[in-house]
Amino acid sequence: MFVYEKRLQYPIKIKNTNPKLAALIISQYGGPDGELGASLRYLSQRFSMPYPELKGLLTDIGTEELGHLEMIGAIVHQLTRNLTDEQIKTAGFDAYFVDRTAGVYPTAASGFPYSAASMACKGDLIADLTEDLAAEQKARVTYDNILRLSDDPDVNDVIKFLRQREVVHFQRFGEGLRLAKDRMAEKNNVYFTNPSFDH
Amino acid sequence: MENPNPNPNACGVMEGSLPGKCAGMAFPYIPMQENSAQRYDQTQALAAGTLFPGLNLPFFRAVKSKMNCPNNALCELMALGFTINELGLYLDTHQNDKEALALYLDYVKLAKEGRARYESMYGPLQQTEVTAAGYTWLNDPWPWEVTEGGKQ
Repeated sequence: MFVYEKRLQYPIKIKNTNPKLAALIISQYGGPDGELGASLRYLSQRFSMPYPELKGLLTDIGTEELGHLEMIGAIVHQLTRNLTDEQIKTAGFDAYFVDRTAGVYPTAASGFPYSAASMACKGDLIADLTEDLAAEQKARVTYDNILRLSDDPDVNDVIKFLRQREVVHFQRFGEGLRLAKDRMAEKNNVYFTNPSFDH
Repeated sequence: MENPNPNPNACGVMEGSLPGKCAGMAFPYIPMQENSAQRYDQTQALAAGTLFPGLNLPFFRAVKSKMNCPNNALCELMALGFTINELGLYLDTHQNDKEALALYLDYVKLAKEGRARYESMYGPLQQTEVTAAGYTWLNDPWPWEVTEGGKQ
């Protein structure tokens, strides 16, 4: 089960309203490589994982991603506080505003609502962990792109932190694959077929 | 089957070369982080987004970006909580690293004290923490509204 802790993982204190930037950063809330997809991907994949270190890793990283989802929501909220009539007409935010006002909705910046089609849960540890390595890289690239587009230091400080977490998660998933490979080799599963079925 | 270029030092038929060793092909390899890797302290770790200098690979445009977290109970708790989280992920793939486990337990103890300090100043972190002041769980600000230590 899950218990809510009433704090963020990392401090978020954004001084300036910036709806245009909010309309870009919302992609890490509900976009194809966003934190909602990340947490759902890992928390779903863990059910079919055969080894304890992989169940643990997916549970723990999936839980951290839920904290990141909250952080992205906090950034979007703080960037859209106290909007003036002029600010709601900001090009790039006006289309979001007409549908969602200043609500935080899981959507890609390009307008496509959150879709589970952007993640996978294949039920095979090699396929799923390799997907996770790619997912961490795709999220890292999205954060790179946000850093290319944003010049707000209050936002960039938080994005830098979230980006670095993708790097660490990539490393841990890679280590998880290594440990899984050793376990499969112990069972003479040299072709690395799904150990839940074949070995 | 032909072997076009026999080489007695080469890896086996089903192997390719990794730096310094042979390994099975068609499988992704990430090097295992070594035990006793260099570490930051908890505040530096939160600021960097990792406990480990060896994994700190920032984007070139964000190298100078600085964490804005004053020396208060919330930031102390965030730093301790983050370090526990980071060490927990490390232990998931390094469960036999006794030094890291000892460090993990030290941080868990410090975080317990840090939680008590934070809750005495700002209110409950979890709904079940009901104090003499009554049911203060609903009190503003909520985390997404916080600027620092309770100010909106």
